[in-house]
Amino acid sequence: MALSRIPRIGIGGPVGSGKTMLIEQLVPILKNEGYNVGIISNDVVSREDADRMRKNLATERGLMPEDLVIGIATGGCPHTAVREDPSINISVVEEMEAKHPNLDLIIIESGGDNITTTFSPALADYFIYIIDVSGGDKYPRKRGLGIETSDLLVINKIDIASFIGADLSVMERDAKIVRNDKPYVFVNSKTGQGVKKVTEQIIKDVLFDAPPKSVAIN
Amino acid sequence: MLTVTAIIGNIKNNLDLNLKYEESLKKNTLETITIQRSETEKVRMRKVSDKKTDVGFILPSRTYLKDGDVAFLDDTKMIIIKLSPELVAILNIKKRYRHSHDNNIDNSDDRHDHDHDHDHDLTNIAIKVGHTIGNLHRPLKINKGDIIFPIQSPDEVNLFLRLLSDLKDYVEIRTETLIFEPDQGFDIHAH
Repeated sequence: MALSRIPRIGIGGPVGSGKTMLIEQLVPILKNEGYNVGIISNDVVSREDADRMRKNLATERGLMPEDLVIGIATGGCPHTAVREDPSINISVVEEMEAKHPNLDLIIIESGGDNITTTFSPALADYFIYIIDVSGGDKYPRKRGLGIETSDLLVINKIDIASFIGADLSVMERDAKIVRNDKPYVFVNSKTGQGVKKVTEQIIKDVLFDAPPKSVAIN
Repeated sequence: MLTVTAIIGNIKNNLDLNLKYEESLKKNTLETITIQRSETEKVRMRKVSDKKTDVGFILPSRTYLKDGDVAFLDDTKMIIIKLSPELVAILNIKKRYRHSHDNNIDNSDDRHDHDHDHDHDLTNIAIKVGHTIGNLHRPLKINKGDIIFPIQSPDEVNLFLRLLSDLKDYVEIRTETLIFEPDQGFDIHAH
């Protein structure tokens, strides 16, 4: 049972930090490596992000079937649907697992939330927390559970650091301090810069360097 | 990578495993994997032991890892889980107040009224303390009258002292760094 469970990643972060765009960059790289991915995207009211990813990744680029991008409108505080009561997400994950047992990975995107966002371990095996430099270079040292305890901290929009006076070396120094040995990656999700490192962490720490199921079956 | 799909047992409550642990210590074949409390509910994760053994955990749902769990055991090595110590606040009701009527041997009606008031006060204190900690969504451990819950910074003690200011004569709070394992049913998320 445990061995047949499809690995799941949770991606959380503030509104506008780049969660959706990070997924849009991750999926093509993983697909290129042979890994098949399903996406569940939570949002408070709309399903806009899911619709965008479905159009971009499935309809236009054909990287996945359209039914592998599912939107959930959570209503209340976004963290409630991924932590306090993740049952709606778990039921969608299980449905996806039943319909697509050969998936290698399921990515669950939280609605935009605050720095204390975390995922229930019952829902996600690995938690990526994403922030962006527009909040200033003090962001990592402000701590919070997302920044401190996530399995991977992604710092996005490094291309605008100079425009808003954010010093990336300060962010790196503080990320090292608050996260001990846990990894962090600087990215620009618009161009894809740094995203390969995120996929490398996922393949190592979540997929345990296993080959894609499609390759293993053949 | 060594794959672990089940926990064998715990050295703290399994005599046989405890003996093997002592033996492994002596033979220098013991390895530890240190995890954070936030990782105790993870059923899939990759970790490296203190002796560089690469371990992938793929555990059954609802597995809760505990300090002292044995992840692997054979003739060459024993790998145990070690929970990382963390900063906690320890709150207790001051002993002189908690035990005041234990020292009172008077059996008069006055004594009965006094006990009744005292119990009433203790109930109020307990409910207010529980309400305050609960409002801040902290997991909890109760050990011999100590109410233990994690904090992220020593400054948080001042926050609790302020929130419990009307109980300042009855409760005391100190901080410690220790292995915190919440009581079952009180391991709610923290944020």
